[in-house]
Amino acid sequence: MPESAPPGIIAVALPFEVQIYEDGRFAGTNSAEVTLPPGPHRLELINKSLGYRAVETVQVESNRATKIPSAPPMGRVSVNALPWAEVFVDGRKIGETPLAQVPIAVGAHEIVFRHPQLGEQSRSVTVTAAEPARLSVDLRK
Amino acid sequence: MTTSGLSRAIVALVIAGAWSVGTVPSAGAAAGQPPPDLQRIRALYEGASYEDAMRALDAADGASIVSGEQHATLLLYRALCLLALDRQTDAEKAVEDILSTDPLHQPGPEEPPRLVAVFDRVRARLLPSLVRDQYAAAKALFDSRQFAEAASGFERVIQLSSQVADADREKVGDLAMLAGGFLELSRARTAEAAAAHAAVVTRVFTSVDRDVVPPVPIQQEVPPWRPLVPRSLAGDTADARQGRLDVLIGPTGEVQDAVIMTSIDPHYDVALVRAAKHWKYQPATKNGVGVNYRRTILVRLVPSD
Repeated sequence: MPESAPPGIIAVALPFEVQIYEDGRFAGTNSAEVTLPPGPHRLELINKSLGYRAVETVQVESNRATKIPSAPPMGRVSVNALPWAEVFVDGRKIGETPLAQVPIAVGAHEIVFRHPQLGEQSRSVTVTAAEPARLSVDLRK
Repeated sequence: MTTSGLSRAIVALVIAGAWSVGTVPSAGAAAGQPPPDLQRIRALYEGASYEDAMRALDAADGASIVSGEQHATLLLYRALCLLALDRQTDAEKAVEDILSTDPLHQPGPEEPPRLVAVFDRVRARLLPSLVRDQYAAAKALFDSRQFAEAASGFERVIQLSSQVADADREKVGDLAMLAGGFLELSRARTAEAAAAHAAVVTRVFTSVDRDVVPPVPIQQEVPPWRPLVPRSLAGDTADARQGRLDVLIGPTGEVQDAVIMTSIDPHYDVALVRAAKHWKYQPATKNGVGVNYRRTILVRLVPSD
């Protein structure tokens, strides 16, 4: 492929910001459009505050968007409620307390604790790849 | 035990721990680890730090357990943490340990439904063997004539039998019916024993009662007697004197009453009764139980000079 071929676009499918490096050189962030010349690239995606680091090998095609990462980054969350509760993450029920090490996408989430008699409480949590998030509520208060 | 019940148990144990400061530790406490920190375990569990709670529970395994309730509380937290960590089989084992110790243990109404479900599942599985074990234990108590304890055991058998699923009825056979019969017998024997005991402890026995072991003096000193006319002056006219004293000795060997039945000397009688009320005995016993006993004592006084 000639060197003058138009570049391709890197589409980062992550709900949080990452810095993109290639061979140790800063290539951009996903808050702006990142373009790379066509061909194979080994990219490193980093968000230090979320403990996220991923290495992706991609084949960039001219005038086309290449989606990365191939798999969504996962963290874990452990939750508890007193006396107990059904637990919903971003509206999806994940089970009843006590719950440990539930896989959940890295990033910010809303967790709702619901008890049939004691009502519900909502909490925001930021899940990192580094260590499990822990969250507990006392629905009796 | 409810989660609030857990709190109460912990508070009580902490107070007990505070009281133990400065006291001589028991042999068990001295040999084992310090009592487990239940407050910390509870905080870790409630804060969703299940792995740390498990580590604390493992450490508590070597601790000196100060009560059965504390042991059950540790097992309950273990079951809850194991449930959180999705270790169902291990959680069931912890619940099994709770039910083995206390077959009638029921999780409180506030416990997580997941834990209640484990209790239901494990109890259903264990019930036939629990019924058989409880029956054997109650029957052994009955055979060793511990009727009150046996009655409690047979009550448990009946209560547990009522929870056995229809499909498992064959596994417990007629144990509930047998337990009902032995329960009646145990209650009757307990009532008889209580009545017999009451009759024995209120009755006053004497030497006529051949089935009673008489009291044995521990301290039975009589006061010294000094006649008004010394023997050296009275010569042959100095008579020996004698009288009769009745003492009522209680079931603990204390003298409860002393009465002069035949006077010795008006002055000496008073001193003798006063001294007799401080005498000590190994109490009389009937079937090994201390009883009241009236003993008649002949007192003979001989002038010593």
